[in-house]
Amino acid sequence: MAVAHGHDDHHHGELHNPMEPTRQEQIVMNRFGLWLFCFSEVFLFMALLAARFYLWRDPVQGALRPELEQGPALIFTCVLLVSSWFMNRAEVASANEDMKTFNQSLAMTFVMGLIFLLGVIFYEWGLGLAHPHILPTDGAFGAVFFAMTGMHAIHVITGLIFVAIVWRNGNLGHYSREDHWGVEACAIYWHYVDLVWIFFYPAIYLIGIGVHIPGH
Amino acid sequence: MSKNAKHFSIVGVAIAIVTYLVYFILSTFFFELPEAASAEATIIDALFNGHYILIAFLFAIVVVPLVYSIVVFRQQEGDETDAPHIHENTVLEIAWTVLPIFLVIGFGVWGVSSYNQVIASEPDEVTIRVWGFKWDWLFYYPEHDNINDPALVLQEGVPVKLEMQSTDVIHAFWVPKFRVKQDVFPYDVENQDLNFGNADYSPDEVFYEPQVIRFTPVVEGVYRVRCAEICGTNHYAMLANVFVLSPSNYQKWLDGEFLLPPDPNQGNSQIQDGVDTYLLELERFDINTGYTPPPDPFAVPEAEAGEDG
Amino acid sequence: MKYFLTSALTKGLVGQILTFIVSYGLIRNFRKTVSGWEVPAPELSGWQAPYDEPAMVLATIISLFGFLLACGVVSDWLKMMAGQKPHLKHGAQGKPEWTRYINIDVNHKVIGIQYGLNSIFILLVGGLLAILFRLELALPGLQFLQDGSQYNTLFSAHGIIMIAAIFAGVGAMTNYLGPVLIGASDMSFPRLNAFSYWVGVPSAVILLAGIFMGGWDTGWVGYPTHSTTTQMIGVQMFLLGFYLNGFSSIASGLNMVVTAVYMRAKGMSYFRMPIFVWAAVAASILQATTTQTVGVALTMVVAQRTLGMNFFTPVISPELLAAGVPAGDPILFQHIFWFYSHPAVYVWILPGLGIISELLPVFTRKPLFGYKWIALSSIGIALVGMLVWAHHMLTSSMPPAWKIPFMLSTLLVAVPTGVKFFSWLATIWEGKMRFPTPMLFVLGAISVFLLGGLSGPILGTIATDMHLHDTYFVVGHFHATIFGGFVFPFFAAIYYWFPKITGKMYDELLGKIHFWIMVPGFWVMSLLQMRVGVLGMRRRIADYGSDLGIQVEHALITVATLAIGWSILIMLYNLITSARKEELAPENPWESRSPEFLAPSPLPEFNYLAPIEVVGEPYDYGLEGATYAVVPTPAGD
Repeated sequence: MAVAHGHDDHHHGELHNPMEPTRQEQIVMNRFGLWLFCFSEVFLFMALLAARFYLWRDPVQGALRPELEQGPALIFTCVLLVSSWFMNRAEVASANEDMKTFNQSLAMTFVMGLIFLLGVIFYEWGLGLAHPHILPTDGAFGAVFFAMTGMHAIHVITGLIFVAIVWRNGNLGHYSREDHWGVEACAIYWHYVDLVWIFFYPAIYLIGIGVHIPGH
Repeated sequence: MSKNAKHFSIVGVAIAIVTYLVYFILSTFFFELPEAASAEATIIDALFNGHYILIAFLFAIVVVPLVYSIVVFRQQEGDETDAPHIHENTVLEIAWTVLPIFLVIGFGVWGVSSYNQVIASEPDEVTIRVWGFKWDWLFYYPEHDNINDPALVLQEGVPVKLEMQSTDVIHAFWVPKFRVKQDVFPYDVENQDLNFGNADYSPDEVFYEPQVIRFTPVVEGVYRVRCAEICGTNHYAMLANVFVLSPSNYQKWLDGEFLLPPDPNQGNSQIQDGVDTYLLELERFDINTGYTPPPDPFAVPEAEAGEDG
Repeated sequence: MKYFLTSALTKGLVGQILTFIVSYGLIRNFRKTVSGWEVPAPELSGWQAPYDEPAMVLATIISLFGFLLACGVVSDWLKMMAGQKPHLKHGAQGKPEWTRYINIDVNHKVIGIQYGLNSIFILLVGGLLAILFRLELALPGLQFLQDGSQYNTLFSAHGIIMIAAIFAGVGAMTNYLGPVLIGASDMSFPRLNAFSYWVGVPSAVILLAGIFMGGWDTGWVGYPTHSTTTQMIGVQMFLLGFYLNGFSSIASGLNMVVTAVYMRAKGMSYFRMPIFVWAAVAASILQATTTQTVGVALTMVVAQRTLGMNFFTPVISPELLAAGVPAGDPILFQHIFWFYSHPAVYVWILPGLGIISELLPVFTRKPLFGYKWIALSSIGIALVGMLVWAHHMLTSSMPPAWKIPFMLSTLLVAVPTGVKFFSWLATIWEGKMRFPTPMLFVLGAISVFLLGGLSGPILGTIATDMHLHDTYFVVGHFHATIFGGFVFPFFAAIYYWFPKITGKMYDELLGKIHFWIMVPGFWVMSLLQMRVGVLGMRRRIADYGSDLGIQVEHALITVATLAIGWSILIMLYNLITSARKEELAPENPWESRSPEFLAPSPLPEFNYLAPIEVVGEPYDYGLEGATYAVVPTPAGD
């Protein structure tokens, strides 16, 4: 089961791949791979949406939703959506090698993403409240609410880490006009996480007849 | 071309013979179904029979050309040349894509109609309510003062509708000789309105429907309910006896004059010696006369009692 | 020994075990000390394991990171995050060649063989479990097992461990063959490829550990509300191990699709790819997408068990009920679960059917009949496969209006599968067939897959399924499709490419003995399983009672199982001894037209010494002067 080599030993003893893809070819593959990953994740979020529409319903009235406070949720949603605009600005700046705008925009993206995340954790989940609006044990409402927001929050956390890494590597001078794939990947991912929330927000907060959860 | 015609005619004849042989073996011996003891079994067995014909035919049209090629066309000794360069035939390919679609439609229509017949309700059906739980069954007879019994007792020729629910995990009701199977799903045990045991059980049908299965037992005898969904430690022993009685015996059973053997699984005790425990008490049961309890070993025989006195 | 102790495998396993023990202890003690989180002493009864369940779950998740960090498969990515630009490391790094297989290596051939070895190892473990419970079932009554729980753990573990083994086997075939057949030097993402393999190792460890840490009795499907309430807490290890294996599937699926799209050799249009690549791509699309949904289903069960989130139990407290808050529903799990788990079966069989289509032309010396139809039928099977999931629920509480469409879509699977069968027959017809071991296994695979296929429609129509659902008929059907669609093609591929992989030839006589024990043994086993199912034998039962009159059949099934087990040992003996012998195999022992036989055996580090160019159709056997691929002479040097 040996893999023979020696035919193509380079002078330095390092093996050299005669068919190694160039950086540009690799970026094309990376981009396709990332889009495929986004497509794959669609199935994850579709499964959660299916659970939401399957469980939050009433044989007569149709779709249900828990009665939650609308104001803060709307604000957090707007913050997240606006952060996407800054992410796009950072990507353009990176392509133009404009470090100042790049830094500013990424910082804005990060801060707004963090506001959204903290808002979800401390307000919507009620970790910072004496009387949370909803608990994981509140029937199918609690279960699906925490599953959807939790799964989305994990993606936001990943996105924030991604933004932080891209910010640092950008300042180390890793991105250029020709090759700023790291920023582009981060932007695609961040937009994707936003896009998911555009579907999740109405599914959780808007669609269906509000039902008050007793005891909160 | 004439050579090909010879090959095709041999294969054609062989396909006909093999189809018949395989169908004969499947239907009379190998996949012979257990006794058909319900009216639904007749409908289902007809569909089974149709499937056996299909299986036999498809088996033949694949295996006969395969074996024929292996025997006839195989590499001859010393022949190192390649075979003829035949790589496609659009007509053939369209044919074997489209023809199966007709078969699919045919079996689809047959499948839908037989399913509709099997689940159709009868006007004079008797309702019996079934609880599945780890690891036994309990049957309520709402039309007879909601009495309950660990055995399912049915009247020969009378259609029955079983309303089933589970108190814990998913079980499945299956009597092989009736051919029908239905998973039994758990219900909200906290909601007392849904409890079969309650005298005032009356669920709102919009919000809650127990799992339903309908069939008409047509042969007197003893059968067995077998739980067909994995439900834990004693899943294998989650059985219950089914007694299909003649109308007169059924009335006697209601009056307490027709005895049934005790349920070995009663009280949810573990069955340590395997499911053959179920057969032990049945040796003392006769479908016409009922169960004869074993003589009490501690009872004093009458003759001796007389002597002593 | 020195190399073994310092290998990535050893480091990873030690890392996993240490992180599990440390984090379990920490979490357990933390839960003890925090007020309100006191842990009651577990009440032990019989088969139950003395673990604190939430601590066990968290520690298991953490132990995955322990493995990955300790074995070093993610270190290049961590370096990239830290702003460095690590190079891909090729070759054995100055160590003996064999150490590549227990260390992190980005070469797709090494990873393919790692998958293969992993697959065979897990296959042996799963097979051993099967033999244990077959011995139990040989006679009515309980033989040597104490109670149903032990039996339940055995068959549940057999199911999921075999699934892990099959996924590893699919990984072996697609990873080793995919890039080679399309004329590439490697996969698109070599590091991700290594990650896909290495994340499968800790998940296999978790699955195996589940047997000893409580066991579980839910079967491999883990339906709630049984899986959410069972006292056998090994079910958590099963859920997590299954879940983590999904990462491997998703990553390798993505990788294969990108590779097939962008790494093809010059001149290789989509309809000139070797047919196996089509099958691998179809399987990879399913793998990369539907796996996500089972992840959701499994996470929900873990969340319900650990956090009390009610997804699947219809029980709800009276005040919530009065307010109109909905409860969970167990059938939701079945929908999400089967949306993945039905396509998963196609992920296993599509590459296998690809192998059959790939090898038939070589051994019949005829072109593959209807190449395009076979290629598109793979995609067709994959797409239809996504629309049939609820046929696993034809006896559930799903309303009839749902059951009927799924019955029809299920029957429709017969159409693309039929296309494959008929195309194979047309390829075989007038073919000058020769019968070395790989061809025997291909024919065996066709015969067994036929058994599996023919027993399918009868399970698809609802009325007949009401009798056959959850019986041994299903067991027989399922094993026939998997052995015909995966196991036998996998063995055919191993024998066929053995000279390519090792440069040595396997022993033909032992190969034929393996075939003539295993395939007839399997026919006996599978057909008798179907027969006892028709007669009333349920699935997943420890004891069947003598009143069904199926003792003889069961005894024969057990004998056939033992024969299959022995034949596998013969194969392993054959492969190991043949790989060690001196004599070299011929360059192109099968006179194949496939591009990999243009390269030396064993394949060089980057497969081809120079980029190949495709100039013709892949299977033009019997056409004078036809060429598929050429290696341009390297310029200069």
